Amino acid sequence: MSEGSGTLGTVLRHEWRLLRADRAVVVVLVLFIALAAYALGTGERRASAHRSALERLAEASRLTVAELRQQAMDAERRPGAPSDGPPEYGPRDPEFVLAATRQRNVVLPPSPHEGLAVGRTDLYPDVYSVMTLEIGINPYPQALPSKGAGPIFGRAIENVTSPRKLLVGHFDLLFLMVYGYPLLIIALTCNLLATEREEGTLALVLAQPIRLGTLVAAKIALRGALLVGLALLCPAIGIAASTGFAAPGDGTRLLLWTAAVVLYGAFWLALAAWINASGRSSAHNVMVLATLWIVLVVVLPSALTLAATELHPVPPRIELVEAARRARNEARVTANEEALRRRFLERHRDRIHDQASMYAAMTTIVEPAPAGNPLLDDFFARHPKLAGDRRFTQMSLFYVLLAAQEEAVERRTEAVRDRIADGLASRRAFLDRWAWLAPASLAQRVLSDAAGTGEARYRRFFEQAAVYQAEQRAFFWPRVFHAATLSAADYDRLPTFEYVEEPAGWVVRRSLAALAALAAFAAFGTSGAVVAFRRFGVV
Amino acid sequence: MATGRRAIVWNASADGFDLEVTSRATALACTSPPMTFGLPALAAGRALKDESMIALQVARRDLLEMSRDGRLRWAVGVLLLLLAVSVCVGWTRSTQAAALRRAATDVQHEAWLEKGAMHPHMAAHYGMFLFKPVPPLAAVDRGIDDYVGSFVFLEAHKQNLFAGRPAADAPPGARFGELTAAAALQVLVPLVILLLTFSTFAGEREQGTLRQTLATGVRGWELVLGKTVAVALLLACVLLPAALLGAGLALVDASEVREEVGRAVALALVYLAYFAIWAVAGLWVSARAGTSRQALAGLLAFWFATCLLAPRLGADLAGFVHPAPLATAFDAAIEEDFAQMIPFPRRVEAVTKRLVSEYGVAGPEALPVSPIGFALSEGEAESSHIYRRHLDALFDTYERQEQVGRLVGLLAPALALQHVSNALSGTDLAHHRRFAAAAEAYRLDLVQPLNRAIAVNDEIAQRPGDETFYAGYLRGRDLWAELPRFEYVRPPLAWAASYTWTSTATLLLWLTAATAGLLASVRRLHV
Repeated sequence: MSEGSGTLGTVLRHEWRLLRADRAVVVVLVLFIALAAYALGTGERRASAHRSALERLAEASRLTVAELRQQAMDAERRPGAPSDGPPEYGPRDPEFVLAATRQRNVVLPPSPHEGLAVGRTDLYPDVYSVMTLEIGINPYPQALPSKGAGPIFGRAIENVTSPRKLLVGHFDLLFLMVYGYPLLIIALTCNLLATEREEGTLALVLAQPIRLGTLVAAKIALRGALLVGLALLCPAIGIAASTGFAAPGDGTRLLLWTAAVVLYGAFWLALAAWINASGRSSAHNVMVLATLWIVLVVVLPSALTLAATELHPVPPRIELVEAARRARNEARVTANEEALRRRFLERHRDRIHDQASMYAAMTTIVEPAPAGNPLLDDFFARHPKLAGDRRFTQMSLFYVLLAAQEEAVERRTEAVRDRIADGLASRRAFLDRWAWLAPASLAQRVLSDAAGTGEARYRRFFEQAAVYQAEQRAFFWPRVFHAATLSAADYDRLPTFEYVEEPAGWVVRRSLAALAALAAFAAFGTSGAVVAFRRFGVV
Repeated sequence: MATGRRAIVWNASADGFDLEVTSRATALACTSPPMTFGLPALAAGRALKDESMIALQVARRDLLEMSRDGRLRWAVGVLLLLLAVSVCVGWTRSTQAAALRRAATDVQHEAWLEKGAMHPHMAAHYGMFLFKPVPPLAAVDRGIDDYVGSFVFLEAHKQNLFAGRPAADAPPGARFGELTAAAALQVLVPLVILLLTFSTFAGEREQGTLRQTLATGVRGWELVLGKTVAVALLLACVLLPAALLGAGLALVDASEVREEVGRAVALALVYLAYFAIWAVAGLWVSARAGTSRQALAGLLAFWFATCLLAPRLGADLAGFVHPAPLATAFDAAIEEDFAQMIPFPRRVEAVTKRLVSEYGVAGPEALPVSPIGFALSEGEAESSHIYRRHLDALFDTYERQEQVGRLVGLLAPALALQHVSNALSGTDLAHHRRFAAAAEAYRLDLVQPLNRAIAVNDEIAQRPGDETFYAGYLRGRDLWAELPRFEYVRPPLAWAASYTWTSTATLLLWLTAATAGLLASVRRLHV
């Protein structure tokens, strides 16, 4: 018996007619497309609001710096501008500029593909006010600290999404693909041969010059083409509707998304074919496939999460808060700043009559830094350049002591931060090692990474924010401590935060293992189905 | 025939099919193969005239059939395992978190006392961390607690949002559902109930045994009662050990639990009502469906729609009807109001003028009090008012969203249950809001006495009008120890019940409707 491409074409056409005639299949397909459109629509609406809000913030931050720079240049050009002495409190005073630029100075631009998957965007802050030399500021207990990246002192604009919404999660395309896509496949394939076999038409069809393998392959190919089409179309529409493939790496990310969905879909398709090969009724197929869906999509990922959480506990953030508090107390007591200030005021009582004269005295009288202050000595030992001749105004000394406290808190909380970072890293390693057990988890991590809303992007953001904090200190500390006057040229060196996106290739490289595991699942399912169909009885 | 006490049935015996006259109970016992295992003797003898025995026989037969189904044995076994694990993990986690937060609260208070000498306003900036206590029933249902933060920093001028959300540290997969006792009870138990019930009527109909059963004259309600009892008994095999395990673990720290007994009992009753809804709905669909495949597909679709889709779509709908602001917009709105506040130097000026007039002194230099302290106090009251207004609006939006969720709960009992379960466990929005309000009240109790300590004190009284006072005034442990310690009392059960009655009523409505539907279907049962 020989088969030509004509036979395959006939079977495909026939199958297509059958599918179109099956009302249940049409209803399920329409429902899925409607849900996908809903997920994409609401996702894009949410993402564009988020995008424009953050763009406005970043723009406002840029404008502030530009305005200050202009004012500094104007002041510089003004005739009679003092060339030495402490700068006037304004755009040429580093302390003023630090205070003026500390609000919302670190912004993570939203991923261009946020509309596809909410990921971690509703949980982690993406706007920070990174601060230094600030009274009473605590290290922000940020999510995902990286070892050695240093804490971020400052505040974050905390997300105010309704906690109920956070708890139940969003209905985004990722959710639909991980949960709903397998159900669509089950609905399309639970009755691959069962009814034809029960009604006896299968034997009739196979009496024609066609092999069972070809028939099954044609049935699966048609459904596969339909499913791949959906897998490709949904994110493509999503990206086209949001940024219109303008962002670099859009194509790569789309390909990655599609590859993950296709492999995940291929696994479910193969599984469905395998179950169909048992030759039992479609009711049996539905029952078994539904049970598999519950186990693979609901129970296994939860069990994996539970195992990761229990086997690799992360020290609670409360420990960081406590450690920071203890460190601050120790540093404060050691700094003894209040007593130093009080002694200064007593010492210069004759020159101080009111607020203005007090401010003048604190900003102009230069005195040697008190000797024997352990915090100060330690700080200068670490930063000999900042010490200079160890002579400061009282105001500058106040800031030096703040910096020393900041650094002491940073140093003394390092162990806790590292333990948290280690805990998170070992938990990630555990999940990397065992994620292959749950195909739904694999699909989820690749899809959220492709959409740019996964953990990795936030980790990168926090690392870059910590670098910015170091740059901020390097710029402001010497200038504030020595009451330097800022010039327009200094403004060119003023650190600003600009998130550097990771190349799409890195995301692909990170996802390769998960994609390979998904491919292995699909291959396993396919070989199981092939073997099972060899034993398939037509009647 | 069906109305009489005796019925003519086909009885499977060793000799083949003999026509014989027997009681309904005995006949029923003989309608399916399992009945050959000695069940009829009991019914045939003592319970010949006992109506309830018929239901019991139905229950016994169904129980036997279910227990012989390997798939169901697996499902029930896996559920029992998952419940046991989730109860143990939930208990360990919540007791550890509770102990940690209690200890951290003590450490914070100690740090507050030991922070050394400082200006009272610097002490207000130094602030205090408050840790949200973990209610004992969070071991069962953590509700929204993982998403609202576990502590809040109290400081001068600012009402911070809660930070340290445990969910931020959870693996990304946790957003797709965690294996908590609540998730197992709300999502997985209904699933097993569906598997237990979908073929009770439909399967018998397909096998033809339903016709035989009905031929015995068994009444609809007896059949329903029997099948319900069978499902209930099988479920009890899972739920009772889990409940006993939970109770046993809870007794490890009985002091905490005593106050929560009322809540725990109420929680158990609500969950029982929820399971009853699923059991009755499963029987109803099975009674109405043409085939067991249709029954299973329908029930699974209902389960997926109500347990997995409805919460997400309900939250979407709630957010659409009552949108919460974006974080940046919320922040900007507060900042805008702050920009409208009187600048501090001008406030000090105005307060000085007022005080000079009130004290009847010649000028600021003669004032025996510090205008700065008064100005700080006034500013604090005003800023607190701004925060309260914005946060009240935010929480009101959340609550309106919850109301929409409760309306959606009319269509999906899982949502109504979540609402009641969160509330009874003390892990819902209302409980969080109550704690947040107590924390804000305490912040003012902390900051305002510090401002008063600046405004009126012995030192300034000795050096009237000394403006340098603000920079050099120091206080120590004596003042810090005078300030009250934060104490929080969890609200009683009646408080939680007062706002959850609508959801409880929704669950009862579902139960009533499903029972009525089932009884109506059984009355017109087609074979």
